[in-house]
Amino acid sequence: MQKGCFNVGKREDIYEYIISKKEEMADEWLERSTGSGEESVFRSDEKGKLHIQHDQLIETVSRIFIEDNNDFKLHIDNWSEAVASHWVKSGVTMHETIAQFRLIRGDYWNSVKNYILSEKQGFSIEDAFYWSNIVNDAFDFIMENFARHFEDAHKKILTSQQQMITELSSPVIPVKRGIGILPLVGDIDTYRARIILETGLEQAATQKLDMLFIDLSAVPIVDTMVAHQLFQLIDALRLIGVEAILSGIRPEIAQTAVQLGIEFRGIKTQATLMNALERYS
Amino acid sequence: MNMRIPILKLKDILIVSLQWELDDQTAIQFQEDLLEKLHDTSARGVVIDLTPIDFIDSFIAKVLGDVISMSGLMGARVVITGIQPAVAITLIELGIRLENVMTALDLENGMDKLQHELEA
Repeated sequence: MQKGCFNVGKREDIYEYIISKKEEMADEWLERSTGSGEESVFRSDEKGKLHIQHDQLIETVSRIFIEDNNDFKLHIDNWSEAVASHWVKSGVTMHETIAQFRLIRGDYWNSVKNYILSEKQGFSIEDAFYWSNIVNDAFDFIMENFARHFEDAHKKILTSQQQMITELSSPVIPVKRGIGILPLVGDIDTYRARIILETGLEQAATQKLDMLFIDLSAVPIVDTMVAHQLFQLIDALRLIGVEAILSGIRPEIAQTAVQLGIEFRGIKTQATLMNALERYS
Repeated sequence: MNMRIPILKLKDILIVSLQWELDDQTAIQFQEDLLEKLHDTSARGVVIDLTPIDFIDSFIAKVLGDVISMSGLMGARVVITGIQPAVAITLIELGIRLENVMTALDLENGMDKLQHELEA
């Protein structure tokens, strides 16, 4: 086994040394990563927050010298989760993130190198390689871990945006007292159908509608599944006292419906919204 | 404890306002009480308001359905009012469509609909 590894004293010395260089490294990094320089990805007003994140990173990474590996990984994981979430919200991209870690890793390794070089007497070449491996493995782990949390944070945002689009996509528009229109646009899958059922019903009740015209002009495909969802909506509306009338039955829809044997028993239907309004309201 | 659902009479219409979720026993009792009252008053219409009800199961739904049919046999029309959107969704998912049942958004609409029906 190499000379320096088991020496607890040496480990703590390196740890103390790096920690003492923390401020310097932070300033160095913030200089390049915020403001208007070409490597900057953050706004200047985020300096305070970033400084803290950098401090925490240096403290956590440096514990690789004195801590058990599993504890180290756990602490890094916690740090990554919080910071990744913030960076994603700040609009940092994945490759910018990698660039930032390159800067930080570079400064960090320089500090370790300087320490080893300044203490030349106490370190062999094997020691130098050993510490090099430790530090680089640590940073590799951090990068990978951070990337995972970064991706998760990204996914979360996409999902919530998707949800928002879906929820906003079926407004019930009042046109006269007691009469509203629900224009459906785009494909209706099971998930969307559920949202439409819930929000449509809620809005119809709030607006105290007697009649709701559901327009299908902009729904490309009406198959048995979509028809089933529509019937559920119409039945549910009827239960709360709202009569539903279907409009926007295009020739394709009429053809498909009859060919598939879909029956619109008891439901009033019209080719266009205009006809429907004229006839029934 | 035996809580019975109060049934009010307004001209020739009986009004029932369910204020809380029914347990099975209360539901059956209600059915009997309503039919009794229909018999005593010869009312021609019944409005059952479910506005405060947030949750309904298949048993209660069946009791309601039965009450409607039974009242029909006794010559009275029933309208159910105030079904909450969430309850409506549950009923539809249970396959309970209450097809030949009159429904309305609230008590006022319900009374109007009923008057309409009875005059026709």
